[in-house]
Amino acid sequence: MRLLLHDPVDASARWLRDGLRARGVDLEAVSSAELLRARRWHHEVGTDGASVAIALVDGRTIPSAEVRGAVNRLTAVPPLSGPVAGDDREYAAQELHAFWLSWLAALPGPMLNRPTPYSLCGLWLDGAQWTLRAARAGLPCGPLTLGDAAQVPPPAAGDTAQAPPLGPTAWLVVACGAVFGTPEAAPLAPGCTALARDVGAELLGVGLAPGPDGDLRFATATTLPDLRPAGAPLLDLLARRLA
Amino acid sequence: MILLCGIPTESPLALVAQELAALGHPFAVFHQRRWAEYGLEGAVRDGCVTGRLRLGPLKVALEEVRGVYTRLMDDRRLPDVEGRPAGDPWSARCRALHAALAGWTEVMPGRVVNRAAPQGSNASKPYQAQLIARHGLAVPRTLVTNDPEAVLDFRRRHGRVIFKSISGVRSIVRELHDDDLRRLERIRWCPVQFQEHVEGFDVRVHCVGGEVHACAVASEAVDYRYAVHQVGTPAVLEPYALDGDLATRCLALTDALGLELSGIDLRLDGDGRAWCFEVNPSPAFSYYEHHTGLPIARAIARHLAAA
Repeated sequence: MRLLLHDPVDASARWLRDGLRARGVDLEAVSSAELLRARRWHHEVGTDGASVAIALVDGRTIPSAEVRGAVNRLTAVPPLSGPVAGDDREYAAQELHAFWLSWLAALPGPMLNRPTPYSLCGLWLDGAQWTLRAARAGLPCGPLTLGDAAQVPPPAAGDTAQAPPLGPTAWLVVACGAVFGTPEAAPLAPGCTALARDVGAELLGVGLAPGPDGDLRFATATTLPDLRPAGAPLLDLLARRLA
Repeated sequence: MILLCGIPTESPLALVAQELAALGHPFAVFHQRRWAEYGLEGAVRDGCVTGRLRLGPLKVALEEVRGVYTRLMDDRRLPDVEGRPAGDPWSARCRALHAALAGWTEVMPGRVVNRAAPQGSNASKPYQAQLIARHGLAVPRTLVTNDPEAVLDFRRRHGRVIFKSISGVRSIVRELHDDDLRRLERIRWCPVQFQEHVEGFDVRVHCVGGEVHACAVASEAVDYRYAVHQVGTPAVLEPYALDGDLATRCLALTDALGLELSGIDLRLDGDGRAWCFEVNPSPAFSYYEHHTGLPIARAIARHLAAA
């Protein structure tokens, strides 16, 4: 069994589900809403390893012993329903996040992407951290301001050195070491794979934007990229990775 | 230059400041209660971080800061911020400053005790237990479930069972008694963590800069931090000589978790086996130092000064 774990609204997940099943992958797609309503959770941890067994309300069961791999696009635990109110609701949310982090980490086989404490679908970094990591990976980067907004004056007109980074105009998707995306960004592919390796992400979206000279440079990155533009070659690769 | 972040009267921060002063090493303090007098302006350019931190009249070049010891409290709980409505400009400014400071400590090239990212594993005890087990220390059998029958079965298998929070919130350890079973149905709304009880005595280990400072804790309480409340008498602490192999494993675990400083909770059973309950990435080490005289603050100060 292979898992596709996703938020309820995730067009890339639907595209992945259909594409991978069409390629013969034995795929169970499970949304965060379905996980939240699961009838039974059983997660054990010990010196010899960890396991999880989930019984969903629709009758499906997911024992970790049968899981051979997963695509993990869960961003967060949905808000808890039921008789929980006030401070208890915030407490329950933290408990559930801690729990989901642990059972996700207990799933065997390749997982794209592995959870991290601050984000269920891979490393979460702020702008400065992404920029620093991207620069170290060899990607061209623009300057990035690091400061409390109340203290930093707005940039003067025409002062490109002080301007905040532009939003991305092009995206590359790094998947299992391969790069998919716009041909004009091909020279940045090695830097993008190095960045994905550095942050431990098998799936990474790298946003690029033109600098003052018109050349593309790093703008942002995400461990939850839109995969659809990468098309059939990406589906073929992921089907092989999960085989 | 070393930067200390937090409330200066808080014991761990105060002890480290005292030791840095004794070493004659220059340091500055980000006094969290005075955040409104502070500012941070910096930039990441060509892979380098530059800028300055303004602490009232004092200006510190970010490039000159070689080490940071951070004990920051949740800035949303600061007295002049807590309770303000959403979108309040004062609160937003406080949040922005703390976000900038946190962002800088994550990317600055010096030594940070500890950075936020590696501290994250402590936010989920069973997740951290999986990391601990992979690095050569035994962890107690743990069950997280929303199924009351599974809890009863777990209790039949293990005899004495404790329960505690999964996250770091409301983290008090309690034993599961027969009386508790009457409200077991409530776990259906939110899974709860149960754990086998391990007999033995507690050892708290602090690792920093390659040094290991351990103390034994004698108490009848299930959770010795709450010994007075649970059994009526306080825990008794004394320095403890950890055997070389166990000390090495504690140092390796600290390193593997990406921590500069750790507070490791062990229990040694009758067979001499070490069980690890938790690795605290922001330990309130002063409690142990006050009771045992272990020079933990000095080790932290030396580690920072050597950055």
